[in-house]
Amino acid sequence: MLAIKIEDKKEKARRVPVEVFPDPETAVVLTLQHAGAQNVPLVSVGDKVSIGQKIADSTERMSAPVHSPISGKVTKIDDTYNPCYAEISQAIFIKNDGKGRKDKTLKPISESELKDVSTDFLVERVREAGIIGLGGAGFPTHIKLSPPSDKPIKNLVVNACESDVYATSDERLLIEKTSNILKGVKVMCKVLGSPEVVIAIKNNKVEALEKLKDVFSEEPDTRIVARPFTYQQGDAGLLQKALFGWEIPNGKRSYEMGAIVHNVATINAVAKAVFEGEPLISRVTTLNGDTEEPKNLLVKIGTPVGHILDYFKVGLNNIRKVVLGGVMMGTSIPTTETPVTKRTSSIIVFAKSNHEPIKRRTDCIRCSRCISACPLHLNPISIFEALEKRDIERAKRLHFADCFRCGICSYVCPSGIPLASTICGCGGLFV
Amino acid sequence: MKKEPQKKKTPLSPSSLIDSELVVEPAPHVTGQVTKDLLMKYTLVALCILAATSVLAFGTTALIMEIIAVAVAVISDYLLSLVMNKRGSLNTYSAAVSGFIVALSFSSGIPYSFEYALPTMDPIFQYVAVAVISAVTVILFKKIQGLLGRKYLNPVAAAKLLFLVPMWNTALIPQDHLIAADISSFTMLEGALQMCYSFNAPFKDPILTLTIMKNHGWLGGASSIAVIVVGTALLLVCRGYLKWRIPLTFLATTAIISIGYGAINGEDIILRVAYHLFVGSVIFLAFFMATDPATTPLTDLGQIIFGMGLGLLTFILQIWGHFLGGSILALLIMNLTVPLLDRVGINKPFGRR
Repeated sequence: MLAIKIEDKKEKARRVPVEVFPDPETAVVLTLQHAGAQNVPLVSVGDKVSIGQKIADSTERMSAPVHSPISGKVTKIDDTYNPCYAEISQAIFIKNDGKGRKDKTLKPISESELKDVSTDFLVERVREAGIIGLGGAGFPTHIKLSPPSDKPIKNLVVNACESDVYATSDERLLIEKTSNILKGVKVMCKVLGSPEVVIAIKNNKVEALEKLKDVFSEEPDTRIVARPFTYQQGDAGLLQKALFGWEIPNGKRSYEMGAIVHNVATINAVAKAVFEGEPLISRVTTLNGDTEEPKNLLVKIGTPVGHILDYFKVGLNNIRKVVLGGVMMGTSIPTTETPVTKRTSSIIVFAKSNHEPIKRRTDCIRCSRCISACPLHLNPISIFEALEKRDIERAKRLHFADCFRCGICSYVCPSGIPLASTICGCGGLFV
Repeated sequence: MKKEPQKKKTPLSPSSLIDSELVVEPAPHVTGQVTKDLLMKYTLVALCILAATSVLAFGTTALIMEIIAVAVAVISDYLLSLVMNKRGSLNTYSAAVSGFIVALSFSSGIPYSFEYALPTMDPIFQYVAVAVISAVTVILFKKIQGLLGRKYLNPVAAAKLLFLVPMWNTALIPQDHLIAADISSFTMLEGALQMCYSFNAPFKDPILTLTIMKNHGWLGGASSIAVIVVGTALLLVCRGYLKWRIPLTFLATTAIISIGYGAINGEDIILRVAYHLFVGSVIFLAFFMATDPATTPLTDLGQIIFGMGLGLLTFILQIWGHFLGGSILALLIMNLTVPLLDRVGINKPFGRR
């Protein structure tokens, strides 16, 4: 497989410290932000809510609750655009009363208490705090933390690759919250039974790497792997292949190989939930792209994107497109009313003036570049042709549903064929 | 199912349409810099270098032929884009490359008869010939074949063969190759080399002639060394996008077969191998026609089989078909196997091996 160089465009943003973004006037909290079962609102219109109060939950195991990021009153429960799924879904609108009441359901514990608490307590805490994979996949974290007892976990991988273009939120966390991440790792180690910790970081994150070496140097069973990881290796499965050489058999989960991968932002959120008693109501996100100054923001989940753009005077007249969650895999939003979600790792703005379509759509020249580029060794162009002819059987034989939409095939295609979006756009329909 | 990036009106209620100018496009939202046109530009640069070698070997006639072929191709493409609307949109660089290859795959300096006085072909005939082949290439085998949804035959090879058909006087022996038709015996091969390459050739030694500079045969193959260097450089510059396995396996197969053939017949193996590898129709076709992405297999294994089949068929056509430029027919036959070869050697996806 030929390496594909994707310019990561992080130079400016990685030096910008995280800035706390003011609470929004109205928070729009989507009830479904994780991968899994739909949540049901626990509040109704007119209810008063406080910061960190659980406002929607489900009885299903494969779910994670959501919490109010601000104190105020529920004004309506209505549909809005959900960037996690690129569709319309239910949201709870909360008007800020500025009083800053805090919900105290989750009691913080101190670091010394950690050895005395039970594993179940910690897993339950992670679930109650609504923590999901913050790298973008949104898989509920408590499920990853409770593998079957007959599958011992030998490796805990801390995914600090953050390989997507423009995004620097994880990198800033590594620099500014290194000790918090250490605490989070300790919690996870306790839950998983002291596995070996492998921290995978892209070696161009120089400052973050220094910090990590500093803070983690004393830790037993910990190694830091700094390599020029590629964009695709930010994916949990491909990262394991790069680190350990194994491929997770299709249909199996990573715990069956004895390894679990967590994103650094997730680990930071776990530490906050356990030691500060704060559920997942805010996250660090990068505002970047065609903006004058890139920003790393600690922003409340539920803040409308338009609010953030207004605040930094990003003129709406000049914006062509706003993408949430990474330019390779993210969603372009139809309206700036769209709120920040748990999975919004970055907000990328594309200016009208900067827009020049360099690829016009032409016929496939069958260069087979997409085939050699696909990190999953799929055959994108053959799948595309099968789908175009509605030959679902052939597409299935080519395992099109394995695609995890990294977008590399569209990226390299010299004929501008929308391979990735077609393949994963059909992925959900026929499985 | 085919989703072009396009403006979509937001489906939300009017109250939230404050900034409905936002464009919704599928991911990825950035794209690589390599386009079809860029690949064609690199190819054009490579072909220009080979054109220079052809001018050194064949004189200004070659240059005029190249200019005519490219001009006819580009003009045909332009005229067709006016007639056919969407499906036949303007494709200037691709047409220019095809026209260029038409000229460079034209056999020039060819004796018509066994007589030693070497009348090269009438220049006017050559100009008309490349113009016709070039037009047929673009109109029939690029645009009209393109309407099928994909191209099955290499446009240049198909057009050239179609042009040669009326000139055949016996089956599979194109007139322009009559002189050296039978090379199955070594004496005949040597005789052929003598006749074809010794007139006005810069080198008297057949090996040097074959590798460095010959003034007979395909214009593009005038200097085999130049083709190898330029072709390899192009494969490296466009790595990932051009199918390097095909020239490699094609040439390797040719070398192995000719070594075997030479050894069985107890001949001068070096001369036999040099002939089969470096004759213009093999070396130029290997790097610039057999690698045409549209008409070659997608999978790695398919490309290897394609290259091997091409080598084998070319050798058979040269030795027993008496068709010295047989590589174009071999290429067209292998082109037809591509839909089958595309289904060979499909990778097992990640986690299914």
